[in-house]
Amino acid sequence: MALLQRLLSSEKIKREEVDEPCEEVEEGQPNNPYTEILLLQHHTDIVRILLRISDKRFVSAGDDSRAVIWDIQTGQRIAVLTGHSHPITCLLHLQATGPGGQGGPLIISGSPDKQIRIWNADTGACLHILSDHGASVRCLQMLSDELVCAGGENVSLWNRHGQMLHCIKSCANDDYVSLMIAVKNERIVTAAGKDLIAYRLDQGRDNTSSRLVEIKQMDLHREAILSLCVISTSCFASGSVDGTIIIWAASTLQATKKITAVADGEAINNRFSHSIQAMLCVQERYVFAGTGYGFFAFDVSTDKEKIVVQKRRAHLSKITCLGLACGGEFLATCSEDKCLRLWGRKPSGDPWQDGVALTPMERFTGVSSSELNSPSSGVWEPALLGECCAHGGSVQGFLDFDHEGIVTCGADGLVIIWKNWEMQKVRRNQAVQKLLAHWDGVV
Amino acid sequence: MFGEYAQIARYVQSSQESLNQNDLYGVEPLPPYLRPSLIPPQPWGLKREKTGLGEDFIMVAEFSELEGPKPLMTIPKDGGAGFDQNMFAVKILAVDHQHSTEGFTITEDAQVVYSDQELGVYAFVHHLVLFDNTARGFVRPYCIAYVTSQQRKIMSFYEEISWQMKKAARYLKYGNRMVFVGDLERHLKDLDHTKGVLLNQVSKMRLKDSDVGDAGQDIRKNAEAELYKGLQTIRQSNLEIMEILSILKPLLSDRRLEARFKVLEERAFQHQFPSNPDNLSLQENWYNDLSALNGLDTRYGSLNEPRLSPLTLFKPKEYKPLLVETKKAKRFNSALRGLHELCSWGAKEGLKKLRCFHEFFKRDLILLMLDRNESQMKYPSFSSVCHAECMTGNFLSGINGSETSNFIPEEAMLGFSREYLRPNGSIGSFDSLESFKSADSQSLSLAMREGSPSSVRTGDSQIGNNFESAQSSPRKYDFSLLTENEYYSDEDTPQTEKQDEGFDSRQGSSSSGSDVAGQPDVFGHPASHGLAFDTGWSESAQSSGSAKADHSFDSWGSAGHKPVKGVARVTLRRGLENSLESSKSLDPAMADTGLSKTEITSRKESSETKGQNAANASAQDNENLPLVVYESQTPQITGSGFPKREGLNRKKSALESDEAPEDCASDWSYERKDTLLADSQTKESTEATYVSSDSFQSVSGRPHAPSPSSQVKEGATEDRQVVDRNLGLTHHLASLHATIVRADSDNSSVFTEISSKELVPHLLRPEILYSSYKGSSSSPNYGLDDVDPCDDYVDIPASIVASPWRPKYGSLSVGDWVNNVGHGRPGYCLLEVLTTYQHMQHVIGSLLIGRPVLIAGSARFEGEVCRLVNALSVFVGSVRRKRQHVLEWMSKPPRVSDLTRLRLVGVCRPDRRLLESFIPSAVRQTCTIMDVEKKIVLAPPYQGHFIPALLSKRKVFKTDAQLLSFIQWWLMDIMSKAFLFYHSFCMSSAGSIIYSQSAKDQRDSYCGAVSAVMARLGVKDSDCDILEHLAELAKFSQLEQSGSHGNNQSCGSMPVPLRLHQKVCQVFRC
Repeated sequence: MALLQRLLSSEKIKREEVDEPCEEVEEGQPNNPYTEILLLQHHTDIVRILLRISDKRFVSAGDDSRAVIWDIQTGQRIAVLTGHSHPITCLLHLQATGPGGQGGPLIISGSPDKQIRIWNADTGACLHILSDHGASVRCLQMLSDELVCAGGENVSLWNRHGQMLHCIKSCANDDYVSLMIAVKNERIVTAAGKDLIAYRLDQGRDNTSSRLVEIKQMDLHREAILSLCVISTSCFASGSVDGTIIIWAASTLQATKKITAVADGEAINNRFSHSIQAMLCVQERYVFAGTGYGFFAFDVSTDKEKIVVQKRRAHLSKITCLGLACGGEFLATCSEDKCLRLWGRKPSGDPWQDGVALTPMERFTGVSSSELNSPSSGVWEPALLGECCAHGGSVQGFLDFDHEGIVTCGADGLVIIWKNWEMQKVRRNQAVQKLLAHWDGVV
Repeated sequence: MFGEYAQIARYVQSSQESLNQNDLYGVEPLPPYLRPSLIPPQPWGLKREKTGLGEDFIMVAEFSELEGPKPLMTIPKDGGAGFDQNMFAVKILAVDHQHSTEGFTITEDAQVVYSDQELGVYAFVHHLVLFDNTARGFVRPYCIAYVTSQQRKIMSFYEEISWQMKKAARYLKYGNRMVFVGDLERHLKDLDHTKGVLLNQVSKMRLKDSDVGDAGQDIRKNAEAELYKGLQTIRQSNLEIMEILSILKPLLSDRRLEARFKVLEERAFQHQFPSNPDNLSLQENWYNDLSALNGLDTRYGSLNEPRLSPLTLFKPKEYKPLLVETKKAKRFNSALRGLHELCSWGAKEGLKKLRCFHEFFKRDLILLMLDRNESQMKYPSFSSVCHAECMTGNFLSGINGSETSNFIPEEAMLGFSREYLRPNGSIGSFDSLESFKSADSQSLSLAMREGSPSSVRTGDSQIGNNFESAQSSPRKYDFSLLTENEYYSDEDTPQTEKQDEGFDSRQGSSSSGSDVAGQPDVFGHPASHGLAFDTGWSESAQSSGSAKADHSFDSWGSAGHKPVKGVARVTLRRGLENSLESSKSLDPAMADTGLSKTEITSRKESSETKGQNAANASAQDNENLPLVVYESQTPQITGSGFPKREGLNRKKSALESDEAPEDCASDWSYERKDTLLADSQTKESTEATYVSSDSFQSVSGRPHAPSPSSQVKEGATEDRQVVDRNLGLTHHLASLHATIVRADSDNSSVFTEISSKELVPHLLRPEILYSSYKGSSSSPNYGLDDVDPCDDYVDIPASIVASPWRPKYGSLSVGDWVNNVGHGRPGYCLLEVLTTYQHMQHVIGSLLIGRPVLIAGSARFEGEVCRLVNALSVFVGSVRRKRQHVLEWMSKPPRVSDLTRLRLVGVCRPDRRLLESFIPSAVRQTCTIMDVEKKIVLAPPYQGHFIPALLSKRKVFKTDAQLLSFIQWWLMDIMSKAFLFYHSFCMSSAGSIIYSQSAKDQRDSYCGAVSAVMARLGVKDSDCDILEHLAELAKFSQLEQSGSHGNNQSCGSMPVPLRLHQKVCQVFRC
């Protein structure tokens, strides 16, 4: 699988015409805070999913059909969730609702092997194996602490005890439901191919009679939808392969805006070099979208959509996912070119400016919100601050862990925790001190 | 001590060279009396040739009741071939240690040290008594003797030898008792049987009574009386045997040995048919029948099987009681049984133990001592750091962790240091770091230039003499009773009083120093001072306890609080006089110097100089010599004298300023130095620091009147000359030694900047101090009249901890390593590599900071790449784990995941491909790459002092062994700094502050704090990274150790963090 992907990506690299040279990172990377890595090796195939389940732990899962719980601080493997016979396609974490087994924190995993498994997030023990839906699962979405929706060949509704409450078969024509988000009023929006379908949760008298009711089918996208993103309670966005992002109103399910990052002429290319791979919403108004090899961010709050940040060519290859790291200091973009790149502004050396930033966007751009929003200001291009290069294959997932660092997973089966060496030194000092304080000289 | 490895190497080599020289002269037609005597006298093996004792051996001898004393066997087989073993056996068996009491008693073993000065043979003899039911009195006296030509070996390792002997004897005796008990029980059966037969005869006779007449009656009566007598005898021996059994049987309860024997036995049965049936004596199954005696219940069913060896002596189940001869007295003319027959498995195991023991112990004394010192760094193993499989230090050795929480706030420490570092009027450069920036090469050259032959001799011979006196001079004054406190109590005396002390009190080396020289730890590890706490650190703690001025340090002894000035001074003076005498009586032979000789003696020197160095500072304390005020301008000149002057500087400054705190501070500061100088780890090092402060002055015959400050400059100049000359000579003579000594002064000076308390506040522990003090006083003259504390021998309990020097190292011991640098060993060809390639400091620098180094070359260059990897592997630091850090040759491109493990890799580069395209960029970014083919090094530039100091020495050394031993020292020096850094910073509150969650701010603040500490350690630039890397290694190892404990199985191990050294690299041509 990894090999195939590598082949494909390398082929792509050859085919793509380089229009704009890709930036090279400054030698020595003085601005890259991630100077120490922990290589977590357990997976044997592409790792696609990372999920944070607590302040100290996260789960990784992928094509080797197992999920692993890791400790973020030490990188120790806490538990391995084995049982699926096919690659795990989605993971979901349910918070604890009460003490003990059923009420404890749960991890739910879905797979094309027509199983959904519910695991104890603390111990990694498998609590339930759900197979009533009888179909491959591609995505999972939490509706409340008790209810979970699974999408794939069909859409099914479950409670946390493993009971299937409702199942809608053949909801999509040909395609599997690949994406799912929950929006206002307990609605679910699913994406299957180029269609979006919205469902409403119809709660019955008791807990077991909840049902999903289809509200509307939206088919404005001309090509397959690759990303869905909730912007605020009032709207959400969908991005498709052809580089189109549509902003939808959550209440009416009407398209309010249509944004194309590229001029029409460029889009004809037909290679879908501007496909929207990943979207990320900041402060409920700025949407970052990874498009092709680059990314851009636009402001959805104004009437006229405005691109505030843009980097046309951020990577050598397609961006797979993006996210903010270090409390918004960096935008991290993962790509098929085996790198994670950190974008932001060069340190100005101006303490005042460093101090005033309040919102993540301000911290990221170094520009005050008002300035950013003023129509006269142009598009800000972030600087390449660091390149985290350790994966042997395309970087598939990204997880921000605040002060602990960031986590990436890749097609080489590695999960890597990126940490700051200086910070780690101090942490180790603390840990060893603690250790020695209780050390009696006999080991 | 500073350069002992180098010197050993030198020594080992020189002995070979000297042989060659002899050959050379042998060819020339010079009459023997015209030949210059160039054969270096071997201080330790002088009498080897005389006795023909090529190598140490173990001899087992028996006092045979038939033949008298006779040697039975030697280990190794041909051991002591050119040596009159019979004679020797007679000598060592001329003891009677058996109790002459009635009845059966268990004789305890006896251990005797035998020395024959004439023959030059020294032996440690262990006497033991084995039981044999066919022997006279059931006893067979045996002895095991460890025979060597090195007297000091036996004395220095008395306890180890004794312990090993006891261990071997324990096996022998246990096996023997089993056999004996079995024999006796069998004999009991025989007796029973005989009794039955006799009774039978009686009744038969009585039956016949009726048929026989009177004459027959008489005969019958006679016969009956005889039978009755026989029965009496039987009863008697029965009783006797029962008594013996009742004594012996309770002793046979060593479960551990029993289990061990059982395992052996089972193994023997499994290998029933050995491949070499002719070599019976060593086959395990030869004894299998005997072994059944283990448990007399014959629980081994297999014994009945017919495939038992035909050599079986008796088969328990098939055993047929024999008639015992009751009429005649027992005869003792039959051949006695051998050791193996007497002890069965015990002999096998015991001899095996002896063989192992011999294998380890036959090596040179110096190697053994090195090993012993090294062994102190071994525990706890998770915090020890190795370079090239040789241990270079241990971050936690000797620390009792429960005290580590007693941190003194960093602020207080800083405040203190600031105070004592305050510049003092007359000493401008005092507070600067200059004094220990010393460039080694400079000092070396200076020292060599200033040397003159005469002073060479003096310095050398003096040192040698000190060394000799270690063993020969009787101890008049028990210095060990003096604590540092007492010594230092003089500091409080007014200046005038000290001046009155005058010359006397400054006379050279004290006897305590000489004593110390005779002790085993003089060969202490260079780095151990920094690394082991029992001694160095505790000592420093002591000293800080004495400098009790304004710091309410809880000093442990009352002595610390009540300095007895008079006593201290007087004793010191006596000691000094004493040593002066010893230094006057120069051995002419010793003075007859030659280069090779110096090389040999340099071993001794090194040990001595250390003590002297240390003492230079400490003893001066009592005298208040205001020397060399401007010394710090040329600190590099004085080799071993440097620390002394440093101390003097400080002392001076302290005296000039009347401030008590400062006074105290300066004392502290150089007490610290003492501590660190005093490498030897044992408690005796406390005394060692008081060795011979003024040996240099006394030798030059120029006493120093304490000069007032107006004369300071003059005094300084003169003194410097004197000292320089004396010292320089040593340098000149043995350049090797010189470098090491110099380096040491460099080393020591580092520590002067930081007071002990400031550095390791959490390690100052009253208990340790006390114990170390006690240790020093209880065994003050270790080498002279050893008394084994546990000499009254009981069977060693199974739980006893193995002695530390046991040769089960995962890593090489330094001595072995340096002695056997050969193909494939780490460091082989290093000298050549360093000479051939340029810009190696960047590569070495990368290795030392843990940045992976790839050495690339196409397949044609495999040999060269491997050679480089092998040579450079010396610099790869690792915690003692089984991870492999060095890979000689790798044909596929390395991946990032390889880099967590590997630090030095030889990479095969495909011919057609560029390095850039072959090695993944992720790897390339974090690695230093050396292309052997293109002669290019791509590395972050190294800017520091450590490596240039090393590289500057490469021309001084002629062989790898010399260089490697120097490197070993050099690494230990770095380790000791890292150790200080670790404990003073990482383990203090300063090292655990998270200033900001922002990585950048944190980095800035942390780096600031680190560089402040490093500056005080005298470490700068890239060298900081080296120290930090070592500290990180240790920290992670400790965390990993703790992490692996509490967790359950499902948890994975802790992944090793890989630091990404994202640095600006440059291309160098190498």
